[in-house]
Parts: sequence; C-alpha cells; structure tokens
Amino acid sequence: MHTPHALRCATLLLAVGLVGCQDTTLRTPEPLAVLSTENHSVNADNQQGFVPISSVGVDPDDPRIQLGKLLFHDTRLSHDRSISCASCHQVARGGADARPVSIGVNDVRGRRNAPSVLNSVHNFRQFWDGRASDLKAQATGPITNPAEMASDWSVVIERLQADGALSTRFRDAGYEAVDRDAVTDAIAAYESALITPAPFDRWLLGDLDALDGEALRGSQRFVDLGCVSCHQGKNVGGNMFQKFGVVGDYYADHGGGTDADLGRFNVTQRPQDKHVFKVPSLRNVMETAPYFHDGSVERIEDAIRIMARYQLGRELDDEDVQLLKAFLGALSAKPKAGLL
Amino acid sequence: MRVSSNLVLLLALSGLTALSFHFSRQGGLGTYVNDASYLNQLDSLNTAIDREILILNAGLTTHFDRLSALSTSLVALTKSKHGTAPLNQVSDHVERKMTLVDDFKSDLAIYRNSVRAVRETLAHPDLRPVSAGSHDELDAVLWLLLEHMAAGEVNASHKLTRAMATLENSDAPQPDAVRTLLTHARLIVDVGRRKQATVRSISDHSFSSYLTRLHGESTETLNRTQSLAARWQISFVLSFLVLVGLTVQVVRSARHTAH
Repeated sequence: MHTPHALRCATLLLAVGLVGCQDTTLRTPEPLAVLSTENHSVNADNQQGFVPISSVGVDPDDPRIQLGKLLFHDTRLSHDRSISCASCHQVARGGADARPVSIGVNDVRGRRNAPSVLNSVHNFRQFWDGRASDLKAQATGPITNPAEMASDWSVVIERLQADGALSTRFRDAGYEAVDRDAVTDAIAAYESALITPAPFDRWLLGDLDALDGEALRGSQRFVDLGCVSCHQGKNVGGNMFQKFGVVGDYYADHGGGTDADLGRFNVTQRPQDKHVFKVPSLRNVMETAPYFHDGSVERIEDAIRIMARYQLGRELDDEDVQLLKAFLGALSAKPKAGLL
Repeated sequence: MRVSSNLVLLLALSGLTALSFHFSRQGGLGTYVNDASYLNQLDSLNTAIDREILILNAGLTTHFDRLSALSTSLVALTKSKHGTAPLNQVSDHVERKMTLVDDFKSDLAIYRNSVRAVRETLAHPDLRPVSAGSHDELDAVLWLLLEHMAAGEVNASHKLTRAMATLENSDAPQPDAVRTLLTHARLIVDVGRRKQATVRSISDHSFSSYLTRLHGESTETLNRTQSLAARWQISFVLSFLVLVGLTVQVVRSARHTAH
C-alpha cells in the first residue's frame, strides 16, 4: 500500500527534477589582469632606452641554485667526461671563453662563438639564432650536440643517478627524481642567478658618481649615434633580432660567409632571416673577446667600428671609439659571491 | 513477494541516486572552465601585445623589454596547455604573431636609426652633402623631402625614390656622406613601409577573432554542461530523499511483519 504510493511520488519528483530544472546562468570568466613587467626607472626608460637590473632576491645558497652550479661544472655531462658547461661559459671570465668558437669533445670545433651566460636570463631567446625560448630549453642542447658535449641523456642520467651524494642534493633541492627535467631545471636556476648589476645600473638608479666623465659621455654617444636602437633594455641588447649588415653588406666585404653565418634563417628558412641574429647583450662585453657570432674580431675597438659602419652607416673617429669603449666598461661586473 | 519488490525498488533507487551523484559532479566541467579561462588569458596577453606595439610605433617608449616579456608569456602560455583540437591550433596563430612581432622590432630599430641619421644631417648644415654641383635643383627637392621625412611624413616617398634614383644614376661622383644619406633615406622608405604593413598585419585582429570564436564555443559548451549538471544535482537530491523515505517505509513494514 505504502510502496506504490512512494514509487509514484518518486517518479513524479524525478521527472520534474530532470525536465523542469535548467541553469540558464551565463558565466563569463573573469578577465585576466594584464601581466606587468618589473618596475624600472621611468627616467631611464623614457630618456635612454635602458632599464637597470638588480640581483636583489638572488640567494646563492638556495639548494636548487647550488645544485645547478654543481651540474654546470660537472664534466660527467659530456661523452668523454672532458668538458662541462663551464668549459665554454667561464663565469669568472665574463661568462664566455676566449676562443673564436668553442672546442667540444674530441677537439671538435663549434660553429659559433660562445655567448656569455651572465644575465642570459634577461635575453628574450637563447642561442645566437634564438632557437631556444628559455634557459631550460637551451640547457638541453649542448649535452647532445656532437660539436659540444656529444653525450646521450640516458648515459648522463645513469652516471648522475649512480652518485648517491648527488641524488641527495637533488632531493634537498626539491626534485623527486634525478632525470633530464630536473638537471636542466637546476642548471637554468643557476644561470638565472648569474646577474651582474654594473656601475651603469647604479647610475641609472640615481647614483651620479657611479660613472666617470668618459663613461658618461660614452653613454650619451651610444644614444646619439643610434647604437641604442638595438642594444637597449635591461640587457643592453638581447631583446630582438637584427640583420648583421643593415647599411652595408658585411659578408660581401668579408668573403661570403658560411652556413652558420645565415643565423636565424637556419631556424625559420625565411629568406628575409638570412644573416639575422639575436642582438647580443653588451653587459660584460669587455671580458668576452673575441667578438661577433663567429668570433672573428679580436679587439673591442674594431668591433665598435664594424658595428658603426655596417649597422649605422657611420665612420667613427678615435675619440668616439674611446668614449664608447669607456661606456662598455661600465657595463661589467661579477655575479654574487658564492656563484663563481 | 512484497518484501522482495521493495528490495528491488530500493536497489533501483540506490542506483539512480548513485548515477545522479556521479553526473552532478560533472568531471568534464573543470576542463571547460579551464578552457574559457585559458582563452581569456590568451586574449588579454594578445591585446596587451597589440597595445604595446602601438605605443612603440608611436614612439612613446624606447625599448622592447615589455613587448618581449609579453611575447614570452604568450608563448609560454600556449605551450603550457594541451587542450582540445581548436586550442592546439592556437600555437600556429601564436607562432605567426611572434614572427610579425620579431619583424616589427627589427624594422622599428632600423627605421628609428635612419630617421635619427637624417635628422642629424639636417640639423647640421655643415654636414649636408652636395650633389657635386650637377643637380642643384634635384638636391633642393631631395632636402625638402628629407625634411618632410624627418618630421615623420613619408607620403611623398615615391617622389623621394625618383629623386634618389636620379642622383644614384648620376655620373657625378658622390661623397660618402651622400651615399650614406641616400641609404638611410631608402631604409626609411622601404623599412618604413614594411613596418607599417607589419603593424597592419598584427592589428588585423585575425588572432583576436579566432580567440573570440573559440571563446564563444567554449562558453556555449560550458553553459550546456552546467545546465545538465544542475539537472542531475536536483535529481540526486530528490532521489536521495525518496530513497531515505522508502527505506524508512521498508524498515517499518519489515518490523510490522515480524510482530
């Protein structure tokens, strides 16, 4: 008697529930606030095109950074255990080596000059041709490149996993396993800490005594001559691509060029990207001779003149070259102690 | 017989309750909400990039750090998401956009530098080159046009091109300063046009339109899913209540039979 009644009620109620109820609320997702980049000196931004950098907040004792430092200097990453990242990117020497092109395992010569690892976190892409989007992506390249470490990831990971003490370091740094992702992440963390605020940054931030008269005049010439059109922003470069030879044809004047000289073209295959490279940062440039992507120019004075001639269409006199050199000297500094 | 039918009914209601509970949770809803939020983030970044390009093109700021940071964020956001097929196509749009942004930065730097060089020449009469005395009239036209260009006017660029061609084809020897000046003038014309074409391509809203369409589809799917989930929630509540009531009835009935 009770049961059929209950069943009728249940059926009726369920039918009403299934058919009659409809949520017609239009839910629009909240708009995302526009991502803001870091604050910087308004005067420097508007008047010069430069943005000061800072290493405040970088903790050299951070376990992840210390692990990255260890791996950066670890020769087990290379096939024959002969070289490490630091072999070509010597942190105490401007973050590069002193060779035109780096030498890999079995004395294989590389195709391009080693770019500085210092402040590379501020570059908008990595490598001369910008083929890596960030430091972590960049860190995977050299380990398997036949002209660099010529190694194999499975071999590298096996070697590292066999080191009990190192495995502990990985755990202490917050990694669940010793794997490729953890290795590249730790190396990228270390490289991200290699920031070198220089006297010019202090000057940008208001310390008027940070630059001597020659460097100060050099900075003004740097702006007036147009160098700042490309070498600008936080890294005084490193935030755009540009053709090598805007006003003149550098390669026609220097005997053609190689495949490596095609630059960004090798990545995009677009004809307009021939001889296009990432504009290098000029931070610590006084310590990173020889210059250009092929390391073909030994002296900074010659590099300045070539840049002025082929990029700006200007022939510089000796005074301008000296002033620009003095300015470039004010862009050099070392990373925090504990990172070297 | 009656107890048996009651048990069957209880079992059926339990099944319905469990089913309603399962569908009311709508495991897929989170995905749709994420998709809408993701598209919203893409759209915000895309809009911010377009705005920064206009600011740079107008000369209101002097470096590319902000544009580069926004572009990096957009690329990273694209890579972070592996959604449904239309979302995966976003990366193609982003790649095209990044190529345009890279071209814009490169061209703007060259354009600015050449305008700077022309202005500097015009500002220093002693730096003005001469056309070796053979093209005084043309020289005057050239300077006039260069002055227009230095002021940011490039409408008369075809006249300038003709004037430059005449000078370049002249037999008269040209000083280096003239050649350099003509090179900068050519860059202003060529790169300036290319830059403006790039800006137009960037601002043609094709990516925005694509995102808007995807957003509309995502919102529609989200609404439909939410509506269905609401129905199942109500079904769950009702069937649960009936289940409880029926259980009480069955227990009472069983006790009554026992007595």
